[in-house]
This record gives sequence, structure tokens and C-alpha cells, in this order.
Amino acid sequence: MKGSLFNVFIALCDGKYAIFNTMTGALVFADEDLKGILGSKDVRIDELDSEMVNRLEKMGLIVENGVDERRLFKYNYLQNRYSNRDAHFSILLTYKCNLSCPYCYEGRTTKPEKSMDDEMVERVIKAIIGKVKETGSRNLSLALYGGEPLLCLNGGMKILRSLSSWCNSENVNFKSALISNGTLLTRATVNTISGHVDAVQLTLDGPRWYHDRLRVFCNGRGTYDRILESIPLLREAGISVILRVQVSMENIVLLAELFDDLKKKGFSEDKGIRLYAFPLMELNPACCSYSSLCIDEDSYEDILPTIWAEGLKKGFVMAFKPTPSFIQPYCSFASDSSYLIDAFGDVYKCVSLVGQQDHKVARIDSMGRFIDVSFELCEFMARDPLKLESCFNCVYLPTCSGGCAYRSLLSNRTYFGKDCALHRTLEYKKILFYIRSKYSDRLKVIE
Amino acid sequence: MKSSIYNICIQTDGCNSIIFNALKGTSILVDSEMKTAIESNSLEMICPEDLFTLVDSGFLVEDDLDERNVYAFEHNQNKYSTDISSFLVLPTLSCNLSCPYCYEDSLNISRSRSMDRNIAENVTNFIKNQVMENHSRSVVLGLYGGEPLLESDLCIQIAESISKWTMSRGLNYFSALTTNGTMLSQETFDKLRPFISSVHFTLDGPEEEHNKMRFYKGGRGTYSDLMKAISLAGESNIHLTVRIHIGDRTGQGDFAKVLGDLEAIGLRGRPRTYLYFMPIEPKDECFNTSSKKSLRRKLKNIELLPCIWNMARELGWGESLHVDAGQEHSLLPFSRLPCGFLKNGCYVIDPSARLYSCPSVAGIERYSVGSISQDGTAIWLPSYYDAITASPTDATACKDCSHLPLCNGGCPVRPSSAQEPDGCHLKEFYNKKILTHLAHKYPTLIWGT
Ligand code: SF4
Ligand code: SF4
Ligand code: SF4
Ligand code: SF4
Repeated sequence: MKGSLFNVFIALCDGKYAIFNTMTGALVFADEDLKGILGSKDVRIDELDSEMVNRLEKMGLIVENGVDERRLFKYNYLQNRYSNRDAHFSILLTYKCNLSCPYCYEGRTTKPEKSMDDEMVERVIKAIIGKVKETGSRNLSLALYGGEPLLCLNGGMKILRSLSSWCNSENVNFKSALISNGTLLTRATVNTISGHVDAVQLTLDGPRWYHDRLRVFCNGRGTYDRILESIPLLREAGISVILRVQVSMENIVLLAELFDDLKKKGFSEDKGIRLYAFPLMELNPACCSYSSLCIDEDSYEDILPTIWAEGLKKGFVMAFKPTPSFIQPYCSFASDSSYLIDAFGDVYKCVSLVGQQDHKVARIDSMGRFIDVSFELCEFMARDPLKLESCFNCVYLPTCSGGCAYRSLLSNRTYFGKDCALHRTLEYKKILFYIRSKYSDRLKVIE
Repeated sequence: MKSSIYNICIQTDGCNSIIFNALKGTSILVDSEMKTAIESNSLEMICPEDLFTLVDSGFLVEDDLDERNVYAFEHNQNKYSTDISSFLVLPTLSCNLSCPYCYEDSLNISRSRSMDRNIAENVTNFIKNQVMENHSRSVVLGLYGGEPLLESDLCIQIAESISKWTMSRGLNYFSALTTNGTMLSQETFDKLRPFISSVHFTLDGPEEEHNKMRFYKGGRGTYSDLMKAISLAGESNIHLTVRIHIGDRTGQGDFAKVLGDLEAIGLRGRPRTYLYFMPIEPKDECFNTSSKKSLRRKLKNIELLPCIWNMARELGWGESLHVDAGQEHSLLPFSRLPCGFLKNGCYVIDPSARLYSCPSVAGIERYSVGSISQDGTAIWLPSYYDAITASPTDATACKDCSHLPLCNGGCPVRPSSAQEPDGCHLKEFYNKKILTHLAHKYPTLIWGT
């Protein structure tokens, strides 16, 4: 027997330790002795009773000598990436937006305006059905975004209706989400999307006065009240709400104020409303990961835990135990069955690269086929964390899997690089936070 | 632009060469000047028109393209996606015949074990569980042995259960029985027919030849019984695959004789009939591909194929041959995997419900990669993950090899031929395949040796 490569040791008080396995997600508390045994290369199992050995092996904290855990990781990782089970498409319905948030325009000279026309809507529907048929996926999830997707509501509804009825007839589970700035979600609009959209993601930049300086209508008026008004409408229609709070160095101290306000409105009691903190990024809000940060790289490992703690005080759970990437992929588009399609019918693999022609991986032709499939797709897909030396030797490999390919492209000019940004230390903090919030009565964590 | 790393250059005669691109499966006949230009990356010597063709067919690629990524992507996509789950079940290892080549291998399989009904039940449960876990749309079931029909009740039990289950779930189902044909009575066939889609027979040449190779324990040949079985199955609309072995002494006339016999039982022009020719190989052949002896035999056999195909075509069997590049029985099947068995979602199950990643070692416990437990779930050994994640893109000798997209590194279970001290001689084997394929396809071109 040997100790797992993927055990993270966390010192608690009184000589106690928490041991977290990044491959299995198992968490155990141990004393100095047990920690010593598990930490050594050659586990002296004769010092443990057989019951204990059994349990530790089940949890993956110790493994047989002949087991190559990296192989196990590789198998799970690739199986997940190439699984045909879940097809996902994010559709950029329009580049237009009715707001003029300054950070959205930074560094841009022209404002793209293209919306998906009816013909393209038809093509996209055909293309998605074709892909799902070809791969035999059992689940199809759709995210409509933009710009502001509600500016292209007819196209969006056409896509939702056609795909959900096709999925129904073909026994494919269908789920859909809308990523919106929330300002156009009137009662009438909510009625239209009701029954077709499972979740809506909205974005807040801080408490009202702060938010309203940034997220503004073209005339400069703030959007905070309008966004918050839409939440009860959505909830009444049975649509769950994901509130994404954008965090920057500047607003961090103000978030308590925001949480207070949300709590006052009763949002913390509603299980259908989920809050999460996302470092402010330059590009598109559709990326569910922590990518494309524009706050100082070294500071979020302090910032995010502070926000999680603040949120928890007000009843919002915002951080969870790290999960292996083959259970919950870090990048939504790492999977071979996930694509983004923009208003021009161009296909991309990364949300931060949408619109950049030289990074498109295919396009949809008039017959609704994916054509001109480019090598960019192979490059994106061939990224392999086990071929990166530091990832190969990293204890967080199962949860991080090399991080964000786009961020690697930014810093290394290739997808074949690591992006530790939100993993190496943040993962550790997540575990700490988890222990603290769950076992606070029993253990005090040594800072 | 630069030359593709997967260009394989084969000299055909004094001044001409063939360049075959292993990734794209394209080939081109070039003179020595063009050959030098491509090989040495001196592209300024090539006129724009030719340049376009060369790029379009993959002989030249963009400077910043690392084709290894293209290969890695396709390899992984092929290996890890599980839109199809396939199960090769061996209800028994025993056989009612005693064909010499089945016993002349180094593997020493003990041939007395059969499944019992309980194990068969666990196996069907495993199949159902695994299909669900893999989220597959299609299920392929193979019944194999030994001689599976020695346990025809088990075959029916398993095939019926899986067939009905897939139907109730709206899954595609395809199943194939591989049999020596000697036990296929009308009664057995009628019972099995509703649950199987295809029967796979093997002939060892014309009657005389076949009977020397495939005989009952007492020595009586099986040819006439086999023909009866094929004819019986042929009367239904089932898929029929007939594999015809090429032995050391089988000549052209012999194959004509076999085809004549098959015609007599109505197979010529029959829809859903597939015919293919295969050199006789020991069961453990994959394990020995690295030996020089095996290579010599293989090279010789490859040469025979085109003549046999042509003859079969002339005799009116064209529709049953599937030998174009990219097709299963061609010389260049263009798979991205070294072997169809070493794939996620593919399982070989022996009579004791042990799991293997390869049929040639099924039944030999030390090669097993896991087992099926009472509740129909798999318990995998570390060797399963080792075998399935082994990738030629990690192997020093193979990862930069021009032949990689054709050869895919060979069987990862066996010792690699690429590690031979005198280099990998599988390249020679593939070169021969390319040339033979091209000679067959473009017979008007004159080739050197
Ligand atoms: S590569 Fe990075 S930025 Fe792009 S979609 Fe994936 S996680 Fe997001
Ligand atoms: S990117 Fe960094 S944190 Fe992630 S696996 Fe690689 S080395 Fe570890
Ligand atoms: S796994 Fe290897 S030995 Fe088995 S059939 Fe495949 S190539 Fe041959
Ligand atoms: S086994 Fe030989 S021919 Fe095949 S990829 Fe490896 S080095 Fe090339």
C-alpha cells in the first residue's frame, strides 16, 4: 500500500490534520500519527488495523502499490471529455446590448451589432439536432446569451421551442438557461419564456449605489432596481435564478452591503436563488469558470474566501468542496460535445474567444452542417495536463486539470500550458472554508 | 507551409515515388524532383497550382500546425467516446472440434469451462448497467467461444434478455454469433434468430483443405456440415459474414472452388452478405507481430489479397467485398486505434465472468483486467486502466513516427515492436500495405517492386 498522490494535508489546531483527496473528494480528520503514515511513500499498514486500512482504501487515501493513479485520472478525465452523454450549446443570439457598462467596452473601438437572422436560427436548430443525433447524446443543455439575448427574443424562442419539442419526441432531456442583464425581464417577457427556460443568470456589481455607477442604460441611468424587480417575476414563473456577483478590488468591501440588501428582500431563504462570486473579467459572462480575471492574480486567493465568509454570514453558500474535473468540468467547453455558436453561425470552443475569427473552430452552412472544421479544434481538445510537467506532479491535478486553456493561450500563446491561477492556493482555501463552515463546532483551523 | 510529418515516401521505381499521407489517407505519385522538394521542405520549387493540391490533400500543412495534436484528438475521440457499447461474451471455452491452429499457440487456454445460468444472469445485468453508465445509444453483443452453440441455451438467454431490454429502452441493438457452424440446427437457429442480427462463419479453403484444418474430435471434416449451416442461415434475411482463410497452400483455383460452393447455396448476390479473406494466423498473432518470422509471413499474405479480390469480383461477388480504403476489411481501414477491442465501452467476458480487454487472451486469468460481481457491476483491476490509457502518443518510438496514423502504435498489450533494437519493422509492413492497396486500386499504373 502507498499513500495517494492526491492527498492534501491541512494543519488544524492541537496537532490535528484534515486530509482531503482531490481525486475522490474524501475528507478525513487525522492525528499526527495517521498523517505521518499516510504521508510516507511506503505506508506501514501493519501499524493500522485492517478495518482502518479498508476504509482508507475505499476513500482513496491509500492505494495498492501497483496502482498508477495518474492512469486512473487520465481515464476518468478523457472519458469525461469525450463522453457523448451531455451535449451543450451556448448560443450568442446577438452582439447587441441595451446597456453601456464601461468594462464591456474597454479597449473596443466598434460596437458589434449583429443579431441572428431567421435563416441562421433555422440553420442553428438543424445543426444542433444533427450533432445530438450524430453523437447520440441523452441530454441537451442550451444557454442563450449575447450581448443581451432578450434583444433577439423571437429567434431565441424559436430555438427553444424547436429543440425542446424535438428532444421530447426523441427522448432526450432538455434544459435551458438564459444569461441576461435582467433589464428587459418584464412580466410579459417572463410569461413568454416561462416553461421554456429553466434558469436565468443575472449579474450584480455590488450594492445599489455602486452597481448603478457601472451597469447603466445608455442614458446613464442605473439598472439595480430593474434587475432586482425581475427576480420575483422569474421565481413566480418557476424559473431559478443565479446571481453572479462580480468582484473587483474596488467593490470587495462593499459586498456586505449587497448581501444585506439581498437578504432583506428574502432572497437568502429561497433555494431557487443561488449566489456566486466571480472575479470581474473583461469578456463574456457566459463562462461558468473563474477565467479571464482582471484583478491582480495574487489577490483573489484572499479576496474570494473573504467574500465566501461574508456571504455565509448572510445565509448564502458560495463555495463548495472542490470537485474533480471529471465530475464537474472546470471549463464548460472542454467536452467534445460542447460548442458555442455566434450570431454569424461561427462555431467556437471558448467563450472568451468568441468573435475572434482566427480562433473559430467551424461554421454552420446553409444545410445546418458543421463545416470548415479547423485545426483549432484539435489543438483545443488535445490539451493534456499530464503532458505539462507541473500539472503531472500537482496534487490538485484531478480538480484543476490544467486550468483554463484560454488563460494559457494569453500567457503562453498556446493552449499547451498550465493556468494555476485559481487552483493551487484557492483550492486549498476552498477546503479550509468548507471545513470551517461545516465543522466549526468541532475544530478550529490554524490560520 | 511545411511538409506533413505523416508523409510516407515509398520508392516505386528508379525515378518515381509514392507519397502517402497517413493522416489524411491521400496518396500521390511524384517524380524525384518533387519528392526532394517535399522531403526537404524546399517548397519554393513547387508551382502555385501544385502547392494548392499538396495543401488540400494534407501533404503540406501550415507552419504553426502541430499535426500530433490532430492525431491525439482523433485517437482520444475514437477511444473514449461510448456512443456504442460492445460486449463479446464467451459462454464457453470448449469446442466440439479440434482444429490444430486453435491449440498451437503459446497461450495454453484451458478449454473446459462454461458459464452457468447464474453467471449468465450476472453478465446480462452487467451489460445493462454498463450500457446505462456509458450512456450509449447502441449496443453490440457478440457471442463467441470456444463454440458458443455448445451452450445454445445460454446464448438464447443472454441475447433474448439484451435484445428485449434494448427494445424497451429504444436503443439500437446489433448482435453477432460467431460459430463453427457444426451445431446450427434449424431448431436452434429458429430460436436464436429473433435475437441475433448476424452470423459469422469461417472457411479454411475448399473442402479438402478445410477438412484438414477443421475436423471433429474423431477426425471427420466439417465442410459439408458448415455449408449446410450457412445455407440454412442464408435462407433468412440475417446478416451473413463468411471469412475465408488463406492458408500456405491455398491457390487461386481453390478460392474459386469455395466461391462456387457458396454460389451453389445461393449466397452470390444475396443482400447483407459479407465476404472477406484473411491469412490464417495463430490466435496469439498480435503478441508476435514484432517477430521477423511473422513479418515475413504477413508481407507474403498481403501480396495475395488483390488477386483474390479481383477473382472474386470477376465471379460476381463484388457487392459482398468491402475492401475500399477506409472499409473494415481493406488493407487500409483508417482507424485511429491499434485494435478495435482496446476501446472504452468494449468488453470481453469469459465463462467465469472475468473481464478482458482482448479476445485472444480471454480465459487466461493472468490477463484478466477485472471481473463481474454478483450484482452485475464490474470490479476493475489497475491493469484495465493501464491498458486502456496506453497511448502511442506517449511512446517514444511511436509519437513522432510517420506511420502512426496507420499503425496506431500496435497492440499495447504485447511488447512493442517499436522498441526492437533494430528499429520498428512494422513500417515495412505498412509500406507494403499501401503499395498493394494502390496497385489494386490503380492497376493501370506500373509499379516497380
Ligand atoms: S478555456 Fe477558459 S475562458 Fe475559455 S471557456 Fe474554458 S474556462 Fe472559459
Ligand atoms: S494548472 Fe497548476 S494547479 Fe492546475 S494542475 Fe496544473 S500545476 Fe496544478
Ligand atoms: S488487444 Fe492486442 S492482442 Fe488483443 S486483439 Fe487487440 S491487438 Fe490483438
Ligand atoms: S509501432 Fe512502429 S510503425 Fe507503428 S507507430 Fe510505432 S514506430 Fe511507427
